[in-house]
Amino acid sequence: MSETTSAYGIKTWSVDSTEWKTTLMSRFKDKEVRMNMLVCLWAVDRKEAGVEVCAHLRSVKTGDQLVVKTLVSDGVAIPSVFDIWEGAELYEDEIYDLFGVKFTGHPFLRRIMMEEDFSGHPLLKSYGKVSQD
Amino acid sequence: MEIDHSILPELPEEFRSELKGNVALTTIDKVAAWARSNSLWPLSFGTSCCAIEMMSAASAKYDWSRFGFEVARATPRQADLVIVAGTITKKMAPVLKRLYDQIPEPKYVIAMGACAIGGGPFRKDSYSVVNGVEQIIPVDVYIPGCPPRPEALLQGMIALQQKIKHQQQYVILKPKKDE
Repeated sequence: MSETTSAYGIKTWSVDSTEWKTTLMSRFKDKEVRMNMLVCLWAVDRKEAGVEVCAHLRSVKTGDQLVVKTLVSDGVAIPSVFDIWEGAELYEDEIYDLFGVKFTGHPFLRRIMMEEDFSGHPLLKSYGKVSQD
Repeated sequence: MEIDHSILPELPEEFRSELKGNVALTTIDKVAAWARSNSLWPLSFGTSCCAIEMMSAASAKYDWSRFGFEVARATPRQADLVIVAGTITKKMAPVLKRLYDQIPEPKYVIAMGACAIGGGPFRKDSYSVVNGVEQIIPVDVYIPGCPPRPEALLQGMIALQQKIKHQQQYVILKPKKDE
C-alpha cells in the first residue's frame, strides 16, 4: 500500500497493481472489519498513467466503507476478484469491454455492453470521436 | 360509411323499402380499413424515456383506449404496429428488426421522439446509437419531441388511423388512358 487519503469518513487506498488482489483479499478476511460487500467496481482512463481501476468495499457488520484504487498501465492484466465476490463478474466484463483491461482468472471475460464484433474500447480517451454522417 | 341506395337491384317496392332499412352496401376495402384502424394493437416496445410518456398515454389520464389503440401486446405475433419509443443502439437494432419481421402483415411503425427519428442528442460522435430507426425498418408516422407529450403521441396515432382509413388494399387501379 502506497498512499492513503480520507474524505467524508471514507478511506481511499492507492495500491500497486501487483498488490491489487492481496489487498482486497486481506480486507475481506480481516476479522475486525470484514469488508464482505463489493459495492461497485469501476475504471477511468488516466491517459499516460494508465487505466485506474477502483473498488468500493463495505462492511455489512460495522458499516465501514473503503475505496481501493490501482493504476493499470497499458497491456498489463490484473487478477480477477471473482473468487472473492461473484458479483464482480459483470463489473469486470464491463471494464474489459469499455477500457480493455484484462482480468486473469475471470471465468468468461467477454464484451457485455458493445456488440461481439465491435473493435476498440470506446471509453478510452484515445478512442476518439465517431462520426456516422 | 356512405350507403348508395341507387345501386339496389330492380325489385318490387316492398322489397326495396325492406332492403333500404336493413342492408348497407360498401366495399370490402372500406370495411377492412375501418376495422383495422379502430383496433390497433401496439407492441409494447420502449427503450428509454419516451416509453414513460407512452405508458402515461396508455394509463388513466390520457387513456388511448378511447381512440382504439387498446391492448399493448407483449408479443409481436399479436401486434399490429410497433411504437419505437426511445433510443435504438446498434446492439438493439437486430432485435428490433427481428421483432418487426415477426409482426404479421399489415404492420405499421411509429417513430416516437428525437432518438427514433434521427438519433437525437446522440446523433453526432456516438459509438453506439443508430441515427434514426428508418435505417432499420420503414416508418409510417414520425412524432417529434424529446420526449413527445402524450397528446402528441395520440395525434400521431390518429394520423396513422387516417393513413390506414384512406389506403386501398383490395383495389387495383387501372392505368388511365391518355385522351
